[in-house]
Amino acid sequence: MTADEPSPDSAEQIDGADIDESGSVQGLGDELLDEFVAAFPETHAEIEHGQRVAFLPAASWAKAVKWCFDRGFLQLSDICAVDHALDMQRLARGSVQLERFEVVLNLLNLEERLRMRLVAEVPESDTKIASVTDLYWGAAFPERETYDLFGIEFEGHPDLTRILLPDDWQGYPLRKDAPSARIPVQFKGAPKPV
Amino acid sequence: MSALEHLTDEGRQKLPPRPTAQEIVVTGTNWPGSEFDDDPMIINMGPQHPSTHGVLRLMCELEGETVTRVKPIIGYLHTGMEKTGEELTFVQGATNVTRMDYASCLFNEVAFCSAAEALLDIELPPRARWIRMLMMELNRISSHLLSLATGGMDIGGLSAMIFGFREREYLLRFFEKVTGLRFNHNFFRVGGSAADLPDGWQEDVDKLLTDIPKGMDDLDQLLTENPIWLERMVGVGMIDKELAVNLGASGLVLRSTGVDWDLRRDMPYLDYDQVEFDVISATNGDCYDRFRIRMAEIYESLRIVKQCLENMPDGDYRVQDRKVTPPPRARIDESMEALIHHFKLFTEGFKIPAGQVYTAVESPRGELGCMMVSDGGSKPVRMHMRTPSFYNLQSLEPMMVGGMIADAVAVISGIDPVMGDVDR
Amino acid sequence: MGMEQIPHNFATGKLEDFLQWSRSQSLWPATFGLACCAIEMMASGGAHYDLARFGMEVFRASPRQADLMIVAGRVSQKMAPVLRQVYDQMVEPKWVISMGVCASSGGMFNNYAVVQGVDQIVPVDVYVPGCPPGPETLIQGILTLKAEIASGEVFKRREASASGGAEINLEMAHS
Repeated sequence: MTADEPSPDSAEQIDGADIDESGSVQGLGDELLDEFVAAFPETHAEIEHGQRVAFLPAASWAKAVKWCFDRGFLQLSDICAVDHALDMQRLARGSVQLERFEVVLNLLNLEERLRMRLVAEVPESDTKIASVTDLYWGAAFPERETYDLFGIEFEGHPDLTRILLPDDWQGYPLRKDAPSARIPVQFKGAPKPV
Repeated sequence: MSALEHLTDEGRQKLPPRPTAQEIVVTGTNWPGSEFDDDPMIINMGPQHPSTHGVLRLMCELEGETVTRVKPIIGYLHTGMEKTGEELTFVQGATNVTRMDYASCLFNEVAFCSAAEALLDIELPPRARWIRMLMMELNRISSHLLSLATGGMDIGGLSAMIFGFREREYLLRFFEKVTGLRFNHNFFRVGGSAADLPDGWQEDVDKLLTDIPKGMDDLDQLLTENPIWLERMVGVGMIDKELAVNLGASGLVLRSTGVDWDLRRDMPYLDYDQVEFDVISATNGDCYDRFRIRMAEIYESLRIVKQCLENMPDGDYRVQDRKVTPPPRARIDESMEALIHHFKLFTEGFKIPAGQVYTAVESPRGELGCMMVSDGGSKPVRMHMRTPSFYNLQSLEPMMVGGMIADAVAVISGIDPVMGDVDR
Repeated sequence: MGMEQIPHNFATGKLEDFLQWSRSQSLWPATFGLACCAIEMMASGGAHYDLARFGMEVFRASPRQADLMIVAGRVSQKMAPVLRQVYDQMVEPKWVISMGVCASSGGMFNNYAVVQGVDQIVPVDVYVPGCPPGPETLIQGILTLKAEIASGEVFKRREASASGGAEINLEMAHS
């Protein structure tokens, strides 16, 4: 285990945690999230269903993940993406600009038994985000999977190719605009839609 | 034929170019003067291979018989379950996910249901929680038995397969009695389970508690100190602690390296904090450790099953919340409202508040998580499963590199990937 | 001209009957386990169900030694060419059992990834229903296939299944 100590200077900034305009951090009572928001004021952190979540723009991704890694989140549990094409008007997350795609990273701190979830907002016009494979080698497969199914490009990934689908597959099937079924299920002789 | 347009040339994936091609020294085994002296041999194992536990394909680069690089190629069982999951309501969803890791179906259902329950903020009644624990631990035993059986078969011990499947059959018969199917049960639903335990389940479980240790003795005598088994397993497929953590390995693979981590104890869900059991871990990180842990975990699961049998609370087996639970069958015959309610619940489903949640359970293979996003409707916006085999498979390369190609099957059966779990 | 001149341990019959009988009595399946159904296929070879009673416990790892392919599980778009290749590697005469609802029709997975019925790729002789079919159901399917072999034609090569999909694929493979 190479868990680093939490950096002392970020801990001192907890007193100035009123930077979050939405005021959601006050009263969280969670030291970790307070530290996180102090280090990254452009983000929004909250406790949702008892789980730590931080929403951030894609530009802060690499630095935020590095911060968590140094904070002792040595294991990457999961990476996945969410396509919000059909529910763009969703729950407001502080002042963070919500976009069509979200890349979700679940981190696990084995020493302190903590979980943390980072959610990056990735706009439809620029589906690129930094790869975290330099910190977590285990991100190689899930980032390829997310690229395969959502078309989100992870910059800096050593081998960003399709993983689950054949190499010459066209399109990204888990996007909301991709049709699900190839053969529609219907009764024989049902009237065709005009 | 529209289907044919999607049939593709599957052999196109190639190993990436070698970064240090000149630096590797050829250590012999080629004929002197052969023009292929400097070329490493690339062996393609799978996807149709009896020892890859399904349709895993490995591209191995060899120097002689020593493996220098491995690339697992997966996706041959990609079922699109996450897409299908977005089209099924929360009532139907468990049917879909249970077919994911088909050796431990009930864990998939629990992961899915607990995610939906976390979004709904409902608390299960005690009996529902204990039924889940009882069934999951029995399922863990059957999954480990399957793994021991096929693991023995891979290495050449066919008797292990006979023993493993014999004991597993007792468990499957109990599952069939409780859930109606041998596996792919769809037994756990959001808010509890589909039915209560049948009459006389105590006797059945009691019999299992005596039958399975007997069969385990057979396996133990056959394998644990068998010199051939030791020769094939000890020191094979080593991986160290830091690497395993960094690669996202969980479950047995992580515990065999010395990381004492089990979600049941360290992040308790259901009522696992009320039962006594030990978390088994080892330090060498080789295949033999993983085999020993697997054997020991069966006994630990039996301990939990025994406690479930003794402490099973009475009461409801599903939450009495009209929103998620259909009315009892008898009520439908006498009440029009109950009939309408039942109909609406199974056609439209129930709505779940907007939000996102990640819940994880300790499946026989590791951390099985469900990431669920809802927009307030009756279907999830996104249902993603964090499957343990998918992440554990990444540790295959460090385990195999430097070892013999003949050990590949031992390493694979040590990780015990279920391809339905990997590809989803 | 009676039978009395023939020794007592001698019987006569049609060569065709003998061929059909011998083919039906020792089917050697190729191990083509894909998903859940493969576990049930293995369980049918286990101690409780004991497929050896029907002369077919020898699961062959090489398709060249097998004459029955049990497609056990869902067939993905990526797996489909592999499955066809394995089928082509089997020597004639050969038969296909489509085990489980996913192999037969795509089952509940009507989506982008799953081939909607393996009969689009290879000709299927027997469909075994269930999700997954229990070992008893699989054994019933195998017995059905045996009866079909014992009463079917000896020389005719089967190229297409009822849906005709596999025939189209054959043409593609040949062109």
